[in-house]
Amino acid sequence: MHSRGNGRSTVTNPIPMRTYRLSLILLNALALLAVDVAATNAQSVRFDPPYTRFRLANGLEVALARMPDAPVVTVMTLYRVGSAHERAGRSGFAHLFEHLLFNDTKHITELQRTNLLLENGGGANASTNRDFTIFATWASSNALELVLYLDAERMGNLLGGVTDRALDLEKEVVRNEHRDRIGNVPYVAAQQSLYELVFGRQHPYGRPTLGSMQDLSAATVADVERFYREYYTPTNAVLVVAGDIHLDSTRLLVERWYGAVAPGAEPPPLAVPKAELSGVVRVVREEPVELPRLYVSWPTPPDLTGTSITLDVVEALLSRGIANRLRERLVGELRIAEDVIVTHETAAHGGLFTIEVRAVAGQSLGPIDDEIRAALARMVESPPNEAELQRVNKSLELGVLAQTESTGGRAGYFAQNILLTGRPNVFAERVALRRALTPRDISDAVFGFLRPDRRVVLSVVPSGRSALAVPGSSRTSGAQ
Amino acid sequence: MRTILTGAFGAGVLLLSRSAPALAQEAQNIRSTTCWSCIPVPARGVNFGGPKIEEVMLRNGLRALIVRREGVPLLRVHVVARTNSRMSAADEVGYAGALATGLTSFVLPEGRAVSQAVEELGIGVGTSIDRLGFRWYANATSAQLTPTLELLAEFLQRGDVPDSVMLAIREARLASLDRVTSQPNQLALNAINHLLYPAEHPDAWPTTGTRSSMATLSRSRLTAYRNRVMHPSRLTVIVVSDLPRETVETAIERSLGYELAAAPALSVSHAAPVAPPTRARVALVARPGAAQSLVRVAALGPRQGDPDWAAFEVLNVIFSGSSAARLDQRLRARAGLSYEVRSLVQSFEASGRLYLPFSVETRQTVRAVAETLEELDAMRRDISLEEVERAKRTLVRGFPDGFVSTFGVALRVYELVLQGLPMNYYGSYASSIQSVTLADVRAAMRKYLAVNRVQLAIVGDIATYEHEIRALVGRRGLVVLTPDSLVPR
Repeated sequence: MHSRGNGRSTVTNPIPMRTYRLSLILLNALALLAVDVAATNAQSVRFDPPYTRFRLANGLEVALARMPDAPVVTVMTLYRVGSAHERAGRSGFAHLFEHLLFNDTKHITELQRTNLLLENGGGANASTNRDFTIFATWASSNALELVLYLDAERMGNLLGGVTDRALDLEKEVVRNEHRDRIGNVPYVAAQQSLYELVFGRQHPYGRPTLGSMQDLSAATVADVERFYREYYTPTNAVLVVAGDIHLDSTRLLVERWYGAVAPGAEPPPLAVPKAELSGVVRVVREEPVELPRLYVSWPTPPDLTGTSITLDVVEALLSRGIANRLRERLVGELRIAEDVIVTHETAAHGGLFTIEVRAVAGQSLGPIDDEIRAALARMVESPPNEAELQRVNKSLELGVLAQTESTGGRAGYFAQNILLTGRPNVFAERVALRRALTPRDISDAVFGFLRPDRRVVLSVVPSGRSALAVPGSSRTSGAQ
Repeated sequence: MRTILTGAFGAGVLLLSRSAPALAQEAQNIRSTTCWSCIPVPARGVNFGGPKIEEVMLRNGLRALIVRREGVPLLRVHVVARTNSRMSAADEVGYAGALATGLTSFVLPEGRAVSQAVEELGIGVGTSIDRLGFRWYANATSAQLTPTLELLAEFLQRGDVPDSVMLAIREARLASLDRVTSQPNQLALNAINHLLYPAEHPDAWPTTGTRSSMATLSRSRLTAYRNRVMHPSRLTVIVVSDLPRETVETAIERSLGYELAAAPALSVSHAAPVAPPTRARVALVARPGAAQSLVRVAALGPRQGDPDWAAFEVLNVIFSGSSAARLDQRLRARAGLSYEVRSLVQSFEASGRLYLPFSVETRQTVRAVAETLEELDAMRRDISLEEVERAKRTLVRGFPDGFVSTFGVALRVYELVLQGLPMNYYGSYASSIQSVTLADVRAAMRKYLAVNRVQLAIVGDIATYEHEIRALVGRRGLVVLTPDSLVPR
């Protein structure tokens, strides 16, 4: 992740701009833009955001969204390249490359770009995940052409700016980011290891997006040039402009700047083996932490498939309000946990469903694992009723409505949908899929995908307290 | 073949096409005529004065702030309780946080948890805690205005906290205090507070509470606290939606205009002013073997609303408050020493402050600290007019970005309430920044960011650099703190 922007903040304990922006961008959005306010009935929800869409001759896909509420604009460019596309021995390269795109380019220096954005009330940010890398640049709307120029310049003219020195400097920054995000935050390294445990080292999702320090050191300027030519082409990108813009004139500006970028070749294909667990993998990690934590994970189908959407609803049912059966049991009744967190991370080639239980001090994790299995078994036998399902659906839709309200949120939503489905707006079909779910569907999804006999069980325990781990855990991965 | 898809209002698509040769020619023309060295110059900046905030006082003393934001049928309701030292006694430190945590665990008369009622409504709720107060917020569609306010009213009038929930809150709070020693970020924050503020000063009250205050937390005490700080006459309700003011006002009066006994008295006085430090000090906190040092730099400043505030904001942007700031350029862009070097300005009850958190590899700690102090010294000697004007443009033109969503607008209004600022504050924000002069910024530099006013805390493998830090700041400037001493008691 990289940010170059305005750090203005005038509030107590504020959300830094960087975090605010990313929280908008990275929300794996469903979206809702129009609601029939005459009724609270969930059936009346609609989503019809205006947009214009076209494709440039060089292959760049473009969507423009007019949002005249405030005089700001966000330009978001998403490249179909992430850590899944890295070569062996170059883990973390996609993320390092993301950083380099903020450096000097052929016609403009990093400091010039940063100052130009700041002076126009803007900033820039980026993030890399397994499937794609996303760049957001924003400013007050009168600076639209400047923002388009700056973004197009790095799409078309990066080379010439990246030197050995610049690369070494950015490696150092990324090493510091690595220490910031992983070294200094308890449990994060363990969480990151879940992908390797679930997907395996041979799967593109099996390596951490931040990569290893060793691989980072090995990266060369030649790697940068090859990566840029292979992946950072208009053909491999999606551009969304959202904000207080005029559609016709914005289209002309997009054609002027991005149309000037030469098309590239099709990127190399990505081979993705199927992620499948053949048994239960029980692993323990001892770490300098106070409290034991248990992570139970399963691989799930790719994003936007019917099953993936069903599992999103399962996640919500397990996480929220009255449906939060597991939390009530572990935190409320048994008092053996402080919190339960359920996540379903979805991606283009498969997802990761995880139940994380933050145990109280000294608590053995075995009984907690038993409770998780029992809770899922109960969910299979006695799934939530229709009313519960609809309530969860409604709150999911409401959440997305809020998340896509900003220019950054809207642009991110459109860009990711275009990447995954070819269409900016898939809200209606997602809503339809979710609303059609029956309690039996929930039961089937839990039975079929959150299986007790095929999962990863990771115990993270305080140093010297491996006895707290789920029985049968080993210090290395491997099916048992 | 090029395809143009127009999806306005979802009403189908319009396909236009041109021949492939024509497109290729057009693309070639664009490429050959594009001047990449010609950086576009933006038109004149746009004017933006923030939203119109309408204020309504109910008969029971409740203050309502209503903002209309048309176009999106969303509703944000914030209920703001200020919990500064007028509202809270010293032995109630952390009660606000406990209350915020427990708000959704409160039980309504028929035995339903508030969380259950919320779930049934299909709305989102949450709480957040700040040094000066907390907010209970609801996120719903505008159509849910009335049920959302009715739920709030029911909770405010009749909500209760069961003993079991109370016990869980207290245990969780005490457990989290026990964990402070293993949390480097928390240690660093507590260390910098230790240097900046007198013991137990309200500006340094930890939102987590202290061991003693949490040990005495009970159902009756928390309920009494809630009745005091959440009495309608002490609350502000913020409603941002696309609904007309009249509709919102009527709904608020109907739901929240209930009669109630007089508010419990406030017996605590204002926080005393904080005397600025007279020498630079560095607090070291040991975390043996740490690969990275957490560095915190802080200096006291004016409160928001003080005449110096605008210059203080400009000063922050120049020093380390943006990615083009001096210290960011020095530590990150030119040396790669840190992932992020970004300060912010904060405002508490008696004082404001500049707060800069960054982290650096252990072996680079001394260099980063020395360069930070050098940069402060360089700024004392010279700040240019160009820097000031650029920082002002950054602040003024970036200002609208905080108002791009219903959530953003509600948050900005919340900040006004928390800080006790006038409702026209945002309307005059741009002019207040624009009126800052080079002399103002230089004066603010001398007054607030002179090296002898700045305090630093470092959490890391201090054995490897303690003597060098001592050489840098002198024996009297060094304070070594144990992690245990930084657990709030």
